[in-house]
Amino acid sequence: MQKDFHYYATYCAAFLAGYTHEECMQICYSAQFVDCCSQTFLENIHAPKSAATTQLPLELVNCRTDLLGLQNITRIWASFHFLPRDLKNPNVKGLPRYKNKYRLICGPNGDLIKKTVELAKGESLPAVGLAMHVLADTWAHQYFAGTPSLVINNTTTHFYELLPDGTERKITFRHSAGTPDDLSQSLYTASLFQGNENSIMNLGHGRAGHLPDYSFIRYKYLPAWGHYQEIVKDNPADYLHAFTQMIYAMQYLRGSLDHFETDRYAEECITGLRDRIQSLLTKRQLDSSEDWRQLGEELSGKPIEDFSITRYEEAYLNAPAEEKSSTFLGQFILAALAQKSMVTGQIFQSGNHLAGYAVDYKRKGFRGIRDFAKLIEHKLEKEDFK
Amino acid sequence: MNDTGLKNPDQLVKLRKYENTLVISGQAFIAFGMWSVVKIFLQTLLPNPQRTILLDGHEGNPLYLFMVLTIEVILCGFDIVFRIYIGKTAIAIGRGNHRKSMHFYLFLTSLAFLIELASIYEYLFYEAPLVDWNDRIATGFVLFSSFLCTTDLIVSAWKVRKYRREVG
Amino acid sequence: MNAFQRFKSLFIGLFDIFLCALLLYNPNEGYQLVIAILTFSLLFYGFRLLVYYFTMAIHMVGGKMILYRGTIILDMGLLAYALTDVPKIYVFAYLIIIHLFSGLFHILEAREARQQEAASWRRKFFHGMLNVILALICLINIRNSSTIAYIYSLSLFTEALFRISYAFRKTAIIYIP
Repeated sequence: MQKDFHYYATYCAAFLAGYTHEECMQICYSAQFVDCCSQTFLENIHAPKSAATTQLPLELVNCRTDLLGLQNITRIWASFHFLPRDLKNPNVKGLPRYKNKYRLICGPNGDLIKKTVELAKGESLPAVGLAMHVLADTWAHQYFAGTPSLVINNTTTHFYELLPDGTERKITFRHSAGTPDDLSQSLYTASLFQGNENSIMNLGHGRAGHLPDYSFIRYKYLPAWGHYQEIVKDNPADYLHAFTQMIYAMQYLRGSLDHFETDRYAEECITGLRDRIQSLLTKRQLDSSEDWRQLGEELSGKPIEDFSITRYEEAYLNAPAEEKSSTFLGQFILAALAQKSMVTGQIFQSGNHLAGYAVDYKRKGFRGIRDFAKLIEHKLEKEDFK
Repeated sequence: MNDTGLKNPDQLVKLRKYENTLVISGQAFIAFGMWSVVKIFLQTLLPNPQRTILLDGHEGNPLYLFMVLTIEVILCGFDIVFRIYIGKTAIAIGRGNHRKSMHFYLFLTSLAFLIELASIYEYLFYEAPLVDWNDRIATGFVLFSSFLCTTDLIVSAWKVRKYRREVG
Repeated sequence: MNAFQRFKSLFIGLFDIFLCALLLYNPNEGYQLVIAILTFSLLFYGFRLLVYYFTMAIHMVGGKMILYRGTIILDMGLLAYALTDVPKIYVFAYLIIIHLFSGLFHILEAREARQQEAASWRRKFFHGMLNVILALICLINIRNSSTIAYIYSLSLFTEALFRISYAFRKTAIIYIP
């Protein structure tokens, strides 16, 4: 998903869930910030690099694709952008190497999204925003995996857009940096085919271009793992589900509900707005930020500040060391470490080593990457490890 | 297996699979053909036991060599055209761009299959005394790979025809 | 390209220059090392592709392409191996044809890149055309083993220059976040 949904739509969802304007601003900022918190950014503010929630194109280009490099890539992308739906999926045949990659395929309403939302319960607003980003992406990025894999993430030329008038139009992909997608001719940019299994070009939905991130588009294609079964991706329906599920999840996180269950949606909260949201989602445009912003400002009656990556930087840099974790960025970093730790642990416990190794702190004490010591300190302070 | 819960009709799934296989094996069929032609020319131009038998005591006769080469060029020309036609038609059928009937095409692919069978028969029973074991293993591997490609091509062509009729 | 890939490209480029020098110094013996290296790299690569197909790509839509690619490369490696004890002229002919196919392959890649409006098509096309032209010149002079040794070492040298230039090229990728 893009800024229009992660920032502005999340604001709207947070407001409809009952948060105040100021709380909504923190939540939506955090949701969008997941797409900006790279290792480069963290190095600039002298923050733990393991809290990175994304990788910039330049970082990916220089990334190693050996075992450790691949594990690092998978930890980031599977934890924040391509949360696996079913780590123990029994419906896959093949050798363990193939099964492990298949089981990282992203999708909504899996066990991990429940754990993600529950992890944010009782935590800071940045943690809520981070969880909402992950939740929203499970809808948009479904059918792709957050690990470089030709056999999972590749696509063929069998790609058709399902137009509103009921007709189909063949989608053509090109590899042209800087040229915007042409909606009128279904001409979209995508990454070039690379025959190497572990190439960065085969990470996530690169081979399908930005199609998963456009709310208006409906299309059908053959995923590499689908054994020639055609998948119809209905983005307007999926985005609506994501929106209403975010409202439901935030009602739970706010304390209005006792439990969070998967496959539940706060449909009642958008009763008077359904048509407006539907038309917003189906409007053929590359960026819906303005429309979502208008809706958000109408809902709250207050202006929504533009997103700026440096908004909370100074506060973090100027804070003394012992108070950094209380700043917005400090809270975001803790949330990111917690999410990464949880997802990596779950993947590892399922017998899959693609995201690296995880150690149970309660049984074996602290091992591994030092950055996660911050997370342990925080949990001890909260007495989570008693 | 489809985790989306969507169930494509079985025939449609198989049709897509065989169309895709037809495109790929069509490309491979052309590639194997190019390689065979290159091998034949090398064997004719350069000293080797098969060349000796082919020239049949006329090594010093440039006219004879020219005649042999001309016949080879003509035969190789036919072979190339034959393979390119079959390969390109396979690709066009697989991509849904072939508008004509498939009968003639299926006849040609069956012919290609028989030619491949004949090559294997010749390799197994006639070639042995002429070459050493290094060459024999290498040539055998290429021959069987090409045969499998042709088999794949013909099976896919028949399956595509069958499932297109079923799907309608 | 990451640092390791650049180093690999640079290393192979420099090694190609070494092979080129060896061929020029001793055309009668140098070709044997060239064919030996080509044999093992083709065999290894072909075998690796086949293993990849049977363990992973067999489940992938369009995965059969990898099977055929691996088979053809393995064929080329086996044929190269079969040439280790034949007259030099056969060996050179084989090396030249590999070079010719490599050039054609680069041209096909350039065609695809041009269709996808990727900026790299001109470089790939030039690379491919150069390979093809040098291979054809070698084929024309095939009966003169000294001449083709020199021309072939020239084509090895140009290949080395391309590899070294790739190592220092700025990589612009389209990555879709």
